[in-house]
Formats: sequence, structure tokens, C-alpha cells
Amino acid sequence: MKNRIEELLDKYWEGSSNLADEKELKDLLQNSEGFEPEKSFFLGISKITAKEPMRLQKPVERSLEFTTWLKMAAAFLVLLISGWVLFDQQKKQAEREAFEKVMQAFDLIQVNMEKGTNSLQIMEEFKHLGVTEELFNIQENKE
Amino acid sequence: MKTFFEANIWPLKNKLYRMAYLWVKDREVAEDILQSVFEKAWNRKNELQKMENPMGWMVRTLKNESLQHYRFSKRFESIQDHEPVEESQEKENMEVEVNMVFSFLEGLPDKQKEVFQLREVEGLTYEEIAGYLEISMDQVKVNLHRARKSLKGYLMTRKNEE
Repeated sequence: MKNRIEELLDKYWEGSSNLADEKELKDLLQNSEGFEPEKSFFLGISKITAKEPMRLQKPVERSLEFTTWLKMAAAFLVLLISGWVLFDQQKKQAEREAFEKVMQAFDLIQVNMEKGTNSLQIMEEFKHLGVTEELFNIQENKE
Repeated sequence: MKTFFEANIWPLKNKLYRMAYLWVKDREVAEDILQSVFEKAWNRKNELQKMENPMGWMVRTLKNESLQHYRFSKRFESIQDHEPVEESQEKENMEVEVNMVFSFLEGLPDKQKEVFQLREVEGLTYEEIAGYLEISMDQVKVNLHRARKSLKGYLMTRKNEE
């Protein structure tokens, strides 16, 4: 058995052993005397191979729920933003329309004011009515 | 009927767990890292299904996550300015033989360490290792040969010490 172990070990160190050789070597080492460092090392390897996760969870359900919530939140956000943009645009449009109406009203007032001012132009002539009396110092005798 | 994720990705959990454990040397942290990797894989399951080598992606992501953890814990240690308590306790609790494997692996370059652990711990073929690590078969053989050469020296030293 010792010769077989040495033969397999040589193949192992040279890198020419296959998986079956390596399994045989590890099995033989565990049941033989000597080769203590090799035996301990391969025992350590097999102890690591036996280790498995204890609390790992398959992410299926939780992630599905999470992505669904994420999609819903994203859709809600898109709706909220587009609603706000629409509301803002309508508000600006209403303000613009109100401004235009006020300006039209001002225009109307201005036009009518001009008309009124022109019709009052004739009143300017009345100030010349007493000019003759003033020039010749004519005083009306009412007696 | 099993989904692609259930049939091809989820069954990798034990192998990936041991890989992470050998990198971070802490069972709890290895599980946290692996959980995060599986969450990422789940979110990209459709992309993974179209990949030629989804195992390679899983190993690469696991490596990146472990590296991130390592960088973060290093930064944390420098802020705290004390010894990493959890790691040293974990090492003390380790069985002698497992500790022996860890101390040998610590002295190996990263690539040799990865190839060696996939061959020795997981019993994978050269071809499978090449797929997992996204390297050529020749690189697998060279790295494994060098790692075993180092192991021979390491065991010889221990034999002489005894």
C-alpha cells in the first residue's frame, strides 16, 4: 500500500494524476500509517469540502416582491411627475390668457379715453371767449 | 419545471460558499457575500441565461464582492485602529487541519490559490476550472502544478519541524 501511495503521490506532485488517482490517494492516506503532514492536509481539505451555508436564502420570492414594488413606485413617480408638468403647463397657460385679457381691457380703455379726449378738444376754444374784453378793458355796465 | 436560475445557478451555492469562505476566512461573512451575489444573479437572471458562461460570471461577481468586503474591512480596521477581532476569533476556533490548509493557501498567489482550491476542495476537472475562472486549460495546469510544488515544499518543512 505504501508503494501505491508513493506512486500516486509522485503523479500528484508532477501534476499528471487524474481525479480518480487523487481520490484513491486521499482514501489510501486516511487508512495508512505515516505520511502525517499529507494526511492532515488532505483531512483539512475534506473538512472544508464538507462545509455548507446554513442560512442562505433563495432570493426568488423576496426579490419578486421587491421588483414588483420597485416597478409600482417607478410608475407612480412617472405619473406624479407627468401630472405635475401638465398642471404647471395649464397654470402657465391660464396666467397667460388672464394677462392677455387684462391687456385687451387696457387697450379698450385707452381707445375710449382717446375718443373722449378728442371730443373734449372743442372745450379748449372756450378759453378765448373773454379775450376781447380783457384786451380792451371793457367792463360791462349792468346798471 | 425548474427555472434556469433554479437548475443552473442555485445549485452552485455550496461551491461558491466554500470559495468565499476560503477567501474571507469567516463563515458568516462568506454567507452574507454569497447572499448578495445570489440577489444580483436573480435580478439579472434573464441576462445570465443568455451568457455563454454564467458560472464564470458568478465566480467573478463573488470575487468582486469578497474584494469589496476586504477593502471595506481594511478601511474599517484603519479607522478603528485595532486588530480584526472577528477574524482572529474565527481562526482560533478553526480545526487544526483546516487551519493548516488556510496557512498554506495564504502563501500562494491568487490565481494558484483559486485553481488549487477548485481542484482539491471541489474536485473539478481542468476544463471546469478553466470555465469557472475564465482562463485557458494551460493556465489551469501551470497554476495547479506550481501550487502543488509549493505544497510539497510546505509539507516537507512541516515534516522536518516534527
